[in-house]
Amino acid sequence: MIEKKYKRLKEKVITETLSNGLKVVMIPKKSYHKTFAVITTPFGALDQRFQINNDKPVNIPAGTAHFLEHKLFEKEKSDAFTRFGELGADANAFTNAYQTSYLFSTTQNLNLALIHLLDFVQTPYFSDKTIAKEQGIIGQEIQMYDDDPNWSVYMGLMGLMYPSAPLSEDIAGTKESILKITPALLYDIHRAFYQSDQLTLQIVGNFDPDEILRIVRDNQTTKTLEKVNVKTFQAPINQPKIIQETKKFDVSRPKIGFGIRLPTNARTGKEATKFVLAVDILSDILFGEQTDWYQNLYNKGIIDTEFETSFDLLRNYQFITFFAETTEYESLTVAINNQLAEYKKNLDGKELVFESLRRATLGEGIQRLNSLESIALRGDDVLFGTNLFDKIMLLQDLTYNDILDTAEELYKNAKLQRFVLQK
Amino acid sequence: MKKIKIKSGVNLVVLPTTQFKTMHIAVDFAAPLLDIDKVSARSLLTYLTAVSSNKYPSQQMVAQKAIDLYGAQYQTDVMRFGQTHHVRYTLQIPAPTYIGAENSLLHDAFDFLRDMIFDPLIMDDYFDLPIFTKEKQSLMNELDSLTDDKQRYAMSKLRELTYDLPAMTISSSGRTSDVEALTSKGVYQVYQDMINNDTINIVVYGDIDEARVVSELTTWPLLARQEQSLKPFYRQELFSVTNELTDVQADINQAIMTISYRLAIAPEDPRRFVALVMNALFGGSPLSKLFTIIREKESLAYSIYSRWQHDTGFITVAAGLDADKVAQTDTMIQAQITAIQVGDFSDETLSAIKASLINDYLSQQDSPASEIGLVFSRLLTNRETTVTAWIAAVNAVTSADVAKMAREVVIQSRFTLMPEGLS
Repeated sequence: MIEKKYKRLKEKVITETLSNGLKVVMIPKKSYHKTFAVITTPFGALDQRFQINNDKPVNIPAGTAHFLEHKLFEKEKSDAFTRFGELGADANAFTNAYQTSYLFSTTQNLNLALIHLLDFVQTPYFSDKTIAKEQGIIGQEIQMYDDDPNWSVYMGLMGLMYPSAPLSEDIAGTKESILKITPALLYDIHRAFYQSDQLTLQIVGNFDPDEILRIVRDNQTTKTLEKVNVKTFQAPINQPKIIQETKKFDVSRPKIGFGIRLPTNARTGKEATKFVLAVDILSDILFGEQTDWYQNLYNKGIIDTEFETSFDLLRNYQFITFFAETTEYESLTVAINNQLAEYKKNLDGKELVFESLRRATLGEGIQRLNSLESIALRGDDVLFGTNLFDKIMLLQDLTYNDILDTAEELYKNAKLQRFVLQK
Repeated sequence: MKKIKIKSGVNLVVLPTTQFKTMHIAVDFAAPLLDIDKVSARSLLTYLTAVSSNKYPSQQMVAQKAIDLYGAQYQTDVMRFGQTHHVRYTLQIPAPTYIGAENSLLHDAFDFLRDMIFDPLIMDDYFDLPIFTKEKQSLMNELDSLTDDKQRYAMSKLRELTYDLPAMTISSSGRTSDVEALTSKGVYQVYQDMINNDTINIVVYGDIDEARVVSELTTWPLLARQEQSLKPFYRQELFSVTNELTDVQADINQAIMTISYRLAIAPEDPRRFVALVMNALFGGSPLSKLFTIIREKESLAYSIYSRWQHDTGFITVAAGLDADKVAQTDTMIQAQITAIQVGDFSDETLSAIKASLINDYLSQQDSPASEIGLVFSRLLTNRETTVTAWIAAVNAVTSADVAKMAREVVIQSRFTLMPEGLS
């Protein structure tokens, strides 16, 4: 058992890897009433091809990780979800580009709920009948997303930046792609990506770590879990063919997404987390609400509070996005391009600005620690092995020179792509 | 809960806690919701005071101040509780003990909030015109884009069909046509009226004691005012026929059906706990009939839920579904009410529903926003139920109580949004 203390944050993290490879991460918070538990596999929508041992490689249709997440709740004679309900626990699950997670929070019956979580995630049951039904439900879910303009502009931009790459496909897949899913495929995926050494169990809240660890250990020894070798293949990232695109959609004002593709990411671990922090502060220095740049556009009515920018580092992918709602998107395009072109001048003598933004980012990080769910899910645990506490503490290592280096890397050859949704 | 009367019509509640890593100051202005024109003016004044004040005359300066307060979150909102309208200011800062800036940060936070609320950017007797013009446009844009969100659009149409009192039929954020007609002078008069006549409730939550708060508030211009006897709960007479409307829109894939039912038990009726359980069984929880039967078993709708609003005396249902399933789903929804009326639900389900309601209730204690919201409702309704009493009341609800309550549910209106060419 490894215990790591974060003195300044008054937090501690207890980590233990069981003999079958299951990693257990515990963060006790005695003053809370509930406990939040989540089990995660680093298998997500980006994973579209894999191989078990030396068998034939298998292709994964778009939407399969999400589909499996839904189906794992349904067992031959019962529904895992219902059981959480009987225990008074609030359960859920989600799939994103790089992970699938199953979670619950509860103020009662913690031990039983935890055993149930482990059991239902580690005991798959898939049949032709249940799969056919799910294809109907998810088909509707996909349609619901299609009617959402924010989702459409996001997916439209991803399609421009990463044509035919998994990232540009809906996490839920398409009505057609999910029809290719079979029980055999889901069993294979479960065998490969849900074996114990792929899984991490995080528990945050009001519990006794020794007791919880004993319960998890006892539960794991009752199971015979197969060990297999898994190889995954990352899909190639194609060059974009189109720079700008406009799509017709029933929106009151045009919605615009801008993107800048960056070269394939090679950073891992703390270095990656630190880089993301640097980019976030850099974007704030150049595009934040407090900048003259922002105010000038805001006062002219070119942008409003809907304007936002972010940076994503997802495995190999790294990209910057800007989203806005405005009829004046040509002016906005010019303004963003100008700010990018003059990044050196705009960063000149901004040491104090950097310091104040670093302090604010630290303050925001501390505020985020109120939520047990954030502690478990908003760090870079899955992508880079750095938890939210590490991430907050890493802010202290950032220097103004890091910001300048980051700007050089990001903006030197930046090329802006644009996707517009309008009537 | 200890209520301190600072002045006539001005109350303070301080809740000291070290559970969280944040400190919160929330100020609520409450007035009866009678005049439909005032709603839009009150909404617009929250936009104006979010981005400007005499001391911080531009959005840029407000944003910079929030950065200087270690990433503080300053927010203004409007909301409705039954027939009272609320303008609410909240400021969240990181708990000073985690950033080593104890005295000055707290003090600065109180001063900042005071300046934003009580010292707006005005010229003689009107709000600064350039900011007024810009924020008026922002609010109109925001109200227009609400119609882009189809679920919210459908709910707003349902509200129009459901309520008698005109001020209840519009969004608590106002109406585009009313906002358009507002003048800077007119909004300033509404602001003055709010500052001088509304009931003011202040809640401070975090690692702070009462004496310190009282001392910080001495510089706030909190004037005594007439004590209002606010009657927040709204009740209306039964309609003898169901109001129905169907809209057809191009460019959408899915239909949305919304229904409202009257359940007008008296505000003080202790059976509010029965209503709570009954709604959770009907559609208010993942264990409910609407979710488990209509979504999971019959695959009729992707999303479906019901919400009980004790403050207005209505249960509202919303469903996202395929257009060709609207009629069938409607019949199924009514059948679920009938099923509850005749007691067609198991004791196990009822126990699970209660356990889940209790879990949600206890979990709220881990969220500062929920706790603060609860304090404001207690101040408004003059009703405080202890945790123990609340749990006991939910546990005391019987199957017979629930069945009987379901017989008081009467359908009042239905709004359906259909995709073009499929209706």
